[in-house]
Amino acid sequence: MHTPSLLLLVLSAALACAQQPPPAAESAAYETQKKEKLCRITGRTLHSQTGEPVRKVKLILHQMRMESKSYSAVSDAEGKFSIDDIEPGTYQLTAERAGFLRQSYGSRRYGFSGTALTLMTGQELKDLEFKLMPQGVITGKVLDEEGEPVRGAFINVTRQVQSGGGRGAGMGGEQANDVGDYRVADLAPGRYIVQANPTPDFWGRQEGVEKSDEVREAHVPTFYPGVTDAASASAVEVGPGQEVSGINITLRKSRVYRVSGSVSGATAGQLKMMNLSLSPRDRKAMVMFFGGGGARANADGTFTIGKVQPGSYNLSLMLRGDGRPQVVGRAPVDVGEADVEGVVVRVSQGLTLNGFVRVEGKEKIEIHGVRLMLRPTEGIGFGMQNAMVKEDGTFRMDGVMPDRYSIGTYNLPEGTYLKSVRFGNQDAPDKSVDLSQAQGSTSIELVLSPNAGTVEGLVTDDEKPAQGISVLLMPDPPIADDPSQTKWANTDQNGRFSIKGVAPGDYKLYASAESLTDVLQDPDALRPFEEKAVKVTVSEKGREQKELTLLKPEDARPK
Amino acid sequence: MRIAFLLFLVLPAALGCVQQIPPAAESAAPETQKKEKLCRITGRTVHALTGEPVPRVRLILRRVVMDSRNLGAVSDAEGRFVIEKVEPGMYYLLADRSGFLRRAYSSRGSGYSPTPLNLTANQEVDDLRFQLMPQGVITGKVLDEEGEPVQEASINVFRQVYAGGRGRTPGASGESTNDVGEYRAANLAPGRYIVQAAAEYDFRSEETTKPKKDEVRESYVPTFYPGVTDPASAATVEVGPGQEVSGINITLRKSRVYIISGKVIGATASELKMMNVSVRSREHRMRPMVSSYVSPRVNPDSSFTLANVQPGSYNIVLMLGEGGRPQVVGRTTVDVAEADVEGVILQVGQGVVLSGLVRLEGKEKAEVHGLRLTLRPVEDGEPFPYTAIVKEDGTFRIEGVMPDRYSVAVYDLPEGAYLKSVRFGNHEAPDKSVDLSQTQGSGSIELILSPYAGTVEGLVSDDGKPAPGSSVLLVPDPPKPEEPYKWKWVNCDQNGWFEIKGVVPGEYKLYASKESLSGADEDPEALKPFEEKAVKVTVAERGRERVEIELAKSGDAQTP
Repeated sequence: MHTPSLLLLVLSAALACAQQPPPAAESAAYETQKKEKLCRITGRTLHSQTGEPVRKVKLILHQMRMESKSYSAVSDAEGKFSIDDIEPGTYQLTAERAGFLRQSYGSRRYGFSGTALTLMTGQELKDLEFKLMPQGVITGKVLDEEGEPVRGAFINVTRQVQSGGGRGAGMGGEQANDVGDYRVADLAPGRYIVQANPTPDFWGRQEGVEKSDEVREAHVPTFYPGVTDAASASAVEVGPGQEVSGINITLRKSRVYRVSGSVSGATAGQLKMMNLSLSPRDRKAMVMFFGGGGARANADGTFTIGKVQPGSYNLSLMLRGDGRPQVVGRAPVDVGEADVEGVVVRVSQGLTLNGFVRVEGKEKIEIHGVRLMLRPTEGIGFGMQNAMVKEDGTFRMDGVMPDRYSIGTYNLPEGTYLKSVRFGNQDAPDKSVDLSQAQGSTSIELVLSPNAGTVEGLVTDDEKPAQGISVLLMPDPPIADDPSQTKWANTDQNGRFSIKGVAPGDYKLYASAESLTDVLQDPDALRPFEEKAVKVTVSEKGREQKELTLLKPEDARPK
Repeated sequence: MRIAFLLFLVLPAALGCVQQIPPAAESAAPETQKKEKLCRITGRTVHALTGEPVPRVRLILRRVVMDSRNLGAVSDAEGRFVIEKVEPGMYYLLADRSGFLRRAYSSRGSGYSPTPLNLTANQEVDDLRFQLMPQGVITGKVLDEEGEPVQEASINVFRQVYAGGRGRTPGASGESTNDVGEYRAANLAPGRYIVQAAAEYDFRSEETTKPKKDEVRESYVPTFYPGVTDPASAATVEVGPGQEVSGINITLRKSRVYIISGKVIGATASELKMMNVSVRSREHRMRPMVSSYVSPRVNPDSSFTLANVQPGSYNIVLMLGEGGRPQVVGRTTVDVAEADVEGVILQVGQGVVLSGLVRLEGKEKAEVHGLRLTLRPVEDGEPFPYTAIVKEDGTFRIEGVMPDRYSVAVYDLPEGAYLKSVRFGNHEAPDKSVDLSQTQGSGSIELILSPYAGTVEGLVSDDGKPAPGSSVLLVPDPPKPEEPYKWKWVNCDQNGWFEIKGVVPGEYKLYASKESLSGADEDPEALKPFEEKAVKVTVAERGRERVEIELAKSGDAQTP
């Protein structure tokens, strides 16, 4: 479970930072006039299937910016609610009620989507109809090969995206209880793949008394009804408000292997604090990857990791220190149909990366607080590095492992974009840096441009404005599978969207009813729609207007 | 989810620190000799109540001082198991089988504190009878005042430890209610429990909950079964061996809550964007383990508002988040009685940079690298201590320490060593605590370790017979809050023998009990029933004290 939640975290951080509508100008005069300028929203909460009022719904209105204000209300016996004294701005309205999906107003799916509500000075939005979708639930049992319950297995539920083009996002996980029962709630109508992941050894990892020629088998992650291959899994159809029970999963056993070796270059003191951890090299496999695959280093520097399934992995050596463990070594490991012995992981001091961020042109723009993230271009999880730009424009990252990294920027000042990355006196292609040969310390320069463009427009569906649609702006051709390169917005109550801070270049625009979470976590989800996407070329300070039609399943390119 | 992980961490940690018996000395014997010394354990897994064999139990043999080399076995259809090729040492034998308590082997039977197995060269431990107790379960619903289910409420189950006593230890925690308000707390030993439910703590204030004159605000507060806020009035739930007690429904109570508001002083505009304010109760006893506290951000105009605060005494902590590791940059104390508290000032302090040096008395070069040390405020209420890891050259550094008085503790000490003294600013720090409340800028401390700790060893007996698996606790006499590191817990091995190493010289009392004494440091009442048989012991530098102690009778509240 920690993997999907990690992903989600990264994603929501990325999304939160990507979103930077300007704060409403605040002046002294503003204060005095404030009262007349305040806005109001009234409406009703209704059952999406029956149209009946739903009472006792908690409504929260969030301002869509970082230092946000929020307002709340609870609907009454007739489902009526009213939120008063709202400052003008752009908001998202969400509803919470036991038995219903947690959802945003206007969203067709659970997630970050939803209609952005733009409130102009003194505006009153009346008679909003907030249709609440009853939640779907999947329940079942996790069993072993003898039909006995397996306690504590982690359940991962993944929604199949409408088009069938991709697998969609993990909808989160639950853990089977002591008698193997699980219950995953808060599901939107749709088709789901359910996966059970065997419990990590409760009492710590276990080497077992194994003879070298023995065939070792262990429970492996298994899809409903009992297959290890995602493509052969049976999808579970969940209707609105439906509780689907009896989705029992029999854990499969599969041959597993051992990865053993030694750590070189570590002191006895360091060895005491070292862990090794395996993670799949294929980033897509990571979504389905669960825990396990790790060991402590022994006092003599050797290590053994048991129960590894065949595959390609990165073995990361981590040093536990103050706070977060630090990656101090890495080695690729390929596990085929045999144990892997003699893997040597060398301790590297890591690089010190000294950086400088400057803004092109004469304008004085504050860049303190801009966040940078280095992500290995292959694999995920243990190699990410974070830094914050200081007042003087510098930043520093220590202990960076030699590798190739892409650079993500968050919290950029409005209207700016990352124009180029200079590394070793050259412009780095794709804004990625190859540190695999670097030693000691090295420096890097990031150039921001204040001349970002804007892409805005209207989304229609059946020639009517479509609210709460996810609009995604993706580089064309796409750059790796790096969600930080994708910009997004939701359409507001008038079907309009605006995406700011766009780097000049060629893009494709997609208007999708799928939730952003789904499409951003699964790069394949939009691929079938590539031909229907709208091309747009953005120039410096350019302002592009586009009209889009909502993409439908039938728009997907046949497989 | 997070919960399962937490438990996962807490449990091995608990086992790990309860046990401080180092492994039997391991000589650097060459591989060839090693083989001849290997040991073997055979036994059977049986139902604690019926004596019937329990098949398919996963057994794990783990060193008392944990390392990654665990051995394992699965018992067969007759419950028989064999673990071979075991290196000599001190081990716990642990069992895992759904429907039964997850427990370590105890020679006294299931439910008692674990008995470590002390294996000497070539030893064969045969016919071990590993009793497995079927687990107890409590299930129920959490409801609001209208009888509607409350989802994601945290459930804490406390075990009443001794008859008539006030002592409670956490029985199960980390469960939370599902989408229809149901919970299920499993893996419970037979006993009496009280059950507490708590809704998420959300200290954020929305515009609509901003202070309005004379408005009465209420919020859900942690509530005990069946619907009371005072643990003393909570109803006890009796759980028999293997019993599933259902219908333990809890109606959450509402209580008046107040607002704390104020201002942050000394932060730049860009720092304000990254700040949030959190609230921590200063009364830590029976504090619920709540799965999430939601803390508000500081507003751009440097004001902050904390809503939904119950009456009580709090530390208000200002955090500056950077790179996922928030740093405490300001702190103050607030008492909330029957009114909102306004005008609280949070001053951003740079905090003290504390540089330190660790050395081992009498040794030029000592292996102190990797030792972990903590600074914990002497006054409680700060659940997260500052920590540092000692570098290769014996130095360490902690930045941003808020002015306060801290007690210093060192972990992972070399065998036989103890923290002898703490020198702060050229003075010997009394009680190994350092007072940084007047320190500005930076300070330096020196920690002196002595390799000459004492040892307390002995035999625990019950009616004149050795009492294997008994729990032994060494407590400084008199106990002081500044000296939590002096408390030592161990369990007797299969012969009733115990050994406590690394004892700081001084006066102590030794307690012995059938059941685990862990948690006694949190609850002064817990030791009362054992006072009668407690033995006083004085430990000198390098001293080796031998003690014989009788099991206390009055402490037996537990049904085996």
